[in-house]
Amino acid sequence: MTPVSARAPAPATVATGPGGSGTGGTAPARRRLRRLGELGPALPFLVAKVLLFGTFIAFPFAYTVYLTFQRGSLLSGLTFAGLENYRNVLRDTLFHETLRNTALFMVVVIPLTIVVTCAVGLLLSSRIRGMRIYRSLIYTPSLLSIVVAGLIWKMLIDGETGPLDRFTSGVLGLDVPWLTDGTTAIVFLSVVTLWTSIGFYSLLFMAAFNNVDLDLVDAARIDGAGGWQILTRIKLPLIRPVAQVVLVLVTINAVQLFDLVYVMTQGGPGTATYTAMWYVYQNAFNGGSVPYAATMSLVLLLITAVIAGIFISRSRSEADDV
Amino acid sequence: MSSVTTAARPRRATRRGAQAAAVHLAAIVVSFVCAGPVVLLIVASLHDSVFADFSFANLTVANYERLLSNAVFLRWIVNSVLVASAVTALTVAVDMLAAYAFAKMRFAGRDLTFRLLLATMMLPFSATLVPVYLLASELGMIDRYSGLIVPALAGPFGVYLLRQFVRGIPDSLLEAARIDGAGHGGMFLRIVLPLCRQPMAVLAIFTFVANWNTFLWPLLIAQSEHMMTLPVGIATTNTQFAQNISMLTAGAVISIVPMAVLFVAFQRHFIGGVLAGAVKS
Repeated sequence: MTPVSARAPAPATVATGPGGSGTGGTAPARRRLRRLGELGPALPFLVAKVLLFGTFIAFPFAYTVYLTFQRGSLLSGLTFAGLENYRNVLRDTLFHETLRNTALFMVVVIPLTIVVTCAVGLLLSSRIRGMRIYRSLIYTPSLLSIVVAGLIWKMLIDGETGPLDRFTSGVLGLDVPWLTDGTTAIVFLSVVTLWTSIGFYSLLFMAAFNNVDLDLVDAARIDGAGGWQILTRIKLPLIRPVAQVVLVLVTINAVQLFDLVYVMTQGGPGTATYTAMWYVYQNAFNGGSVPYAATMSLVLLLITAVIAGIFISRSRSEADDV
Repeated sequence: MSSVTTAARPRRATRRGAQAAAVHLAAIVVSFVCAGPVVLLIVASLHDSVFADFSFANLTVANYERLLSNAVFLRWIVNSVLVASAVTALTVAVDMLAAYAFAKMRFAGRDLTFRLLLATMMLPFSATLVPVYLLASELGMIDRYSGLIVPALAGPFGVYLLRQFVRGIPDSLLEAARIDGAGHGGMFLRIVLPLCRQPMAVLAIFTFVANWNTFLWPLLIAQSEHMMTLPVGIATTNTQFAQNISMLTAGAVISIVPMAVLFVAFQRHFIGGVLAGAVKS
């Protein structure tokens, strides 16, 4: 059961593929013997990784799948439950709400991130003096843990001393309900999320813009294209693969939203910022049902995989057209 | 718009100048939005007050003095340094060995194993979170360094990253060493390792940063105060400085310092790592 999303960074890998360094034309049988024969020498190199990977990723993932078909607790013992957990998850109105909250978060954070980081990436790719300094400053938030980022923004919006709140209420005359209104809180979490990731994604876009073949740009310029046309007709189409990567990464991170909720809202006001991941955490570690938490995390994975799969397959088919 | 081809030199020069000014202006605005809040955090940490204070007057390092003489806080720093360093060193070692095997050795099931590894690259942590926690508790890793370190070594990214580079090492180099009597161990140590310094540094920096800032896993594992890492301590703190925001900000600033130092020292690697991680064309 490979999540489709797992393929996200794969294009490069698929292209290089396995195989390669051949030892020349031996008979199939002998080759098979030789391949098996190298398993011995290979073991010392592989044993640590394979054990760790098997123990902490492959087996746990299989166990998550197993748990979703169980009921009970680990202390009282598990019994087979069929699809009961799945039925319950699908009927759980709070889970529905977490999905709506997460969806709202994604609707804000995805386009916002793509547009802003693409623009900043374009900015960073211009050849001006001092760009290195700007690049460092723009990368600053990416160096922080989400915990610290959340702390900073909570201070900035503090009703008593927060400079941002003072600005909006004092200068603009707006009384922004930063974290006290559900929708505003989610939008605000999206903005903070964007802030923490500007540096990283902008660097990706910057590299993509720097990779654009300048001959193409010059040719277009000779044909009379202006700056805007060069951007929209040449540069943006060429950086599309990177945009797709960012899209998938933002999507996956958005579904996983947890740290910021923990630090800034604890799910509130009410259940307005209960994200799916927060709900999973509450169920698994704050006295809920472990099989139920596992089922939710698997449903979440399926949703992510479908969304990411759509993004990726679209990028593939477009690439095929070229 | 189409004046580019016909424009006289001076006009073009002023347009360039105006363009550069606009780029600078935009870059300054974005830099301000990104770095400004961090500056305010630092300012707030330099006030000896209960509430957050962002004025530039009456600055003092009292909070830092208090924190750095606080045994629990020092323990969090030690934990963070210890865990992030151990995870980094072990990740690079384990992944480098595996990368060599996947890139330069032939054995049954190699491609299948590697594909399995890659397939989980984007597997979100939530999909394995509950069982990994149960397993850690079964193995007696709760509230222990082993629980903070060992499960963090399982990820496939490092193997993927390093394998790309090892594959690029010409086979002729390895064959020459083999003729000189080197086995796989010798070739690995004497040829592959020295040639992979750069990608290993990239992986090391990225692993360190990621583990320095990671939150959910240490939140689950560290149950007593003295086992917490910095982010967990800062987020869950309920005793020492809950009532003192400016002290909390000082803790946050201290947690940024190693990241900032790394970034300044290895800027090129940071960018290299970003690119290696996402786009390889």
